[in-house]
Amino acid sequence: MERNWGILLAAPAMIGFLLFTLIPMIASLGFSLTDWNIGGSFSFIGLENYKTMLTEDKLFSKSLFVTIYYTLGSVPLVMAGAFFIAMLLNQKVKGLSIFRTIFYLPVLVPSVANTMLWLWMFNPDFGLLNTILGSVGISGQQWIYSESTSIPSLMLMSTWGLGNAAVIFLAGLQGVPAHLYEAVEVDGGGPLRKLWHVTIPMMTPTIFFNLVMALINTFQVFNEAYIMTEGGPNNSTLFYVYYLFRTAFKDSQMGYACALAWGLFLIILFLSSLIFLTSRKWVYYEGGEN
Amino acid sequence: METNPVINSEPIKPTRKSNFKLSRIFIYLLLVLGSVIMLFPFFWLVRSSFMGMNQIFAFPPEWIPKPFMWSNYSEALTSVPFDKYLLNTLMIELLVLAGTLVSSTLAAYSFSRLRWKGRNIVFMIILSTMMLPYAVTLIPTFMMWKELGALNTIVPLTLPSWFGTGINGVFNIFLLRQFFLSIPRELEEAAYIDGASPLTVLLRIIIPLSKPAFIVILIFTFIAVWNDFLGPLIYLNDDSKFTLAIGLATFKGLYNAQWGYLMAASVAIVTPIVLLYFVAQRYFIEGITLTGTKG
Amino acid sequence: MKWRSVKIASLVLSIVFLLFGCSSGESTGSSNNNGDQVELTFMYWGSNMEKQAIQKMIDSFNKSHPDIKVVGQHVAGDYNTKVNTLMASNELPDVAYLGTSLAKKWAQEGKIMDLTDYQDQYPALKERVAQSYLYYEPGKNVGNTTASEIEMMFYNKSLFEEDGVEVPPSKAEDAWTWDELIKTAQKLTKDSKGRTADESDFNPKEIMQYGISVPSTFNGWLPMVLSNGGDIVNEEGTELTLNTPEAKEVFQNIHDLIYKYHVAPTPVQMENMPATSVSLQTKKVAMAIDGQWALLDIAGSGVDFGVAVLPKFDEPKTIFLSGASVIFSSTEHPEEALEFYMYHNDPEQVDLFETGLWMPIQEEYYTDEAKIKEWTDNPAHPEEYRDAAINYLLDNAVQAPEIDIINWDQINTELEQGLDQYWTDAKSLDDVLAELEESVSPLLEGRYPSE
Repeated sequence: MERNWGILLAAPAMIGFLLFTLIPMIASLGFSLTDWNIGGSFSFIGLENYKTMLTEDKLFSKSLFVTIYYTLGSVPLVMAGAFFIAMLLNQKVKGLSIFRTIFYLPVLVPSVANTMLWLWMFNPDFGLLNTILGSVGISGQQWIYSESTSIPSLMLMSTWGLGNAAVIFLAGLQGVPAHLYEAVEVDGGGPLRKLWHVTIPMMTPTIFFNLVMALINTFQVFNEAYIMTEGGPNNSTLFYVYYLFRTAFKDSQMGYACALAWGLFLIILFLSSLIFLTSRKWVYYEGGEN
Repeated sequence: METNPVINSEPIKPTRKSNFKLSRIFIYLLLVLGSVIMLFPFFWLVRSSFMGMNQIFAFPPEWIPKPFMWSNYSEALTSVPFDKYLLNTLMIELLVLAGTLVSSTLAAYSFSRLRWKGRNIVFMIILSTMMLPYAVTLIPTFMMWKELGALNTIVPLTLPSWFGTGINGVFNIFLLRQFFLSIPRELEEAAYIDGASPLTVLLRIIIPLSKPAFIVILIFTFIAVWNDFLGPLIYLNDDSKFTLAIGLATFKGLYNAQWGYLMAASVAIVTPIVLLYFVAQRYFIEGITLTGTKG
Repeated sequence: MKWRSVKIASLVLSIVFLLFGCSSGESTGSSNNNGDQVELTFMYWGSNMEKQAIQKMIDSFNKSHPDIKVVGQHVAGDYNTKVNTLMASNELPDVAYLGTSLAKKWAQEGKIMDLTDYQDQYPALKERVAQSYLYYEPGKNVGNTTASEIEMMFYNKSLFEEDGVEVPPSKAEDAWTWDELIKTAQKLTKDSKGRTADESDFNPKEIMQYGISVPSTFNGWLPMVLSNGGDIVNEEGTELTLNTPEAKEVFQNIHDLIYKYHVAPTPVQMENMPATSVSLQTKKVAMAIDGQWALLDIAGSGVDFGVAVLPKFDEPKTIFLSGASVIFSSTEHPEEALEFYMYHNDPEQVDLFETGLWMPIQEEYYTDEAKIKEWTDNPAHPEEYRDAAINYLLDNAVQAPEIDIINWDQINTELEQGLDQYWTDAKSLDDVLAELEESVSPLLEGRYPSE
């Protein structure tokens, strides 16, 4: 009976997957085996695209490297920041509603306006960041305008968007049962013990979720390159999905772009599977594991 | 059901009172500092929205608009039919929010609470769809909708949400699944013993306990639809159907942009979301602990 | 109690289906036939102001052609994504703007109508400015560019008057040499203490006003390279020719403007200058090299401006560039589409010529005195415009590479990335050119025919 209900309730999602996702996905896989140039030729070339990708295309390896570099920096930063902020926001402090709104605001600003702001902040001559640095005696940086500092600058920029992860952490914190904290207090434990023995273990499902989502999303970072840097300077911010998008919709090379996409898919799949598999070791479900 | 525990403890022993005050001040300090940092983009946005082109880019940067160009707002919002765009966007929001709430809840419940063969595999497969960049499924999906005659309508933008996909669809399923997994089984077991069906358990027990998660989903999905540009760009042709995101993009031409208008329009578009969020996030405070029974 | 939830659920569902019904009911595509009326779709880009001007033109066309109904589709933002999606799914508009390079590429695949077939039916097709024709195969063209545009110079007159400096020449034969440019720019570059760049105690770290701004894209350097006798590729279009003395001299000289003489802003600084009109108006720059289209905003900004020709190395040259207007082969109504095609950029129907955004493609608007007056006799077009723009286009304008060179979009991406490193002083010119040689050579496929 449970089985029938299970399938029934998951049915809409499964139908949705079949209709709206699977078919286009298979189509794109098919396209990746062709040399389809939009408006032009379309012929089956087998695994040629993949071969080119792995052996000849310098931008493939470059963009992959750039993306991994960015992810390795941005994900921990944002996760840690978001967790910390969520903890702060979970306090009984006056004006909490206002604080919670404020911390979430940057996420609400439309990309177009946000980009303008950061371009201004990153300006080497009169931008805010260099002005602040200057006032404490550190010389100004080139930020997104120099190859070496462009990705770190974007990592910094990504921390502004920690509101999303923070909101989820907060919802998770809300769900930690009070009696567990009380138990620690009865044993004479202070805030750090509570954190280590109650908060973090109980939050592991949420942490797990945020981690997987962060991985999947950060690997597909796009907007910053699309709106702000166009992959420069010198391809140092040529994020993978931006490169893919450009190949598809500017160079019209749909076949190759699909190959790039499936390449990324496999990479993300592999990495998330790793996290999923190891999750049994460190994620604790109050409701019992499946 | 009372509010949640404070993690930074209120100490039991009286001798810790001075530490208590310090830690409180410290927290306030951090919050205020963080707020200033976070508010910066918004403040810059607002100040620019009241400035003329030449003042926005003045350096050293100026903070007080001289003169206060209220006209930016009136001109920005009327030169482009934002009222129509707003209605269109709200229509899409309504359909997507309703759809995603229903379909993701059902699916997440099934994936987390009901045991059936192949459940985890199906879940992983659906989850993996997020890993393929949207750019490459865009055209095949577009072709499919063309065959169905749904081009230039909001159907491609809304119908998938009713089936667990669409904007944020899979994300919502995943989030809810995690949330449901942390609900103690004892609550359901009691209901099953009483002869309840899984649907009843879902409606009676799981859903009421998951309000914070639903609020999160509503907010995220609302914002995602509000800001979605690529979808409307591809599927909508008529000006009368355009959404706010497209309206905003109109101000950014190929060779130049009307920055004052862009900023004003951005503020106008962001403000309702801010208000919505402010109201909605109060539910976090009135959140419900997942122990169900207290004391 | 169970019934209650069912009732609520069914209520919600019925509302939802109602909403779906309402919204999908409006899905009438472009195949609505009102009796014998032909419906055409016209897709285009542009700022909000352009959108309004175009819509006005569409409305007046519909009025004067009751048997045709043109539906305008304005695309804000990413035009390429939209048009590629439509092309991929064969859901194209009838008439549309299109990037010149993409237009020729698709024309070679047969996706765009060859308008030479209609030259007898519409003789006006033969009477356009030479550079505006877009041939993709010998004897076949997709029509013309939407409008004409060239690179030219704009300057803030009051800044020249204040300091008693001679304004740039408006006649091509009087074009400044590079040295003359440097000298004038120096006099107009000022630091925070008002010292000019040719003074010994000039502080290059605190420049408040630049003498000249030069775009870092090919718009800025190509006219100079051409003027110096060089080019991007050889005649057949099979070799990159930037590593030649002619081109290198130009690159070096532009580089010097920024880093040696300090009279021009760096590309990074330019990125934070919103528009030429604003930088002229706020006196950030005294002279600006930009496309003719900047005239619209500059004229509207209230600044006292003048227009001039570009400086030269050897022969005065500028480039002719613009997006294309095409008719897709998939159209079901080629005759009507052509009617509209001839109409949509007619200076009598669109006011974007008078306001300064566009220059006409119809030749008579450059040669016939009365016609010239029609679009230039207004405050937006200063007196010297006749020489600095109209004659400059006729006598000295060469087709830009986007019209000419096959695969230009991809080549340009590489060129921009590469040269940017030189403009930002991150790499030496020789290194950059060597790298470009490598990355661009495989992309070269020759040139399109010119007739």
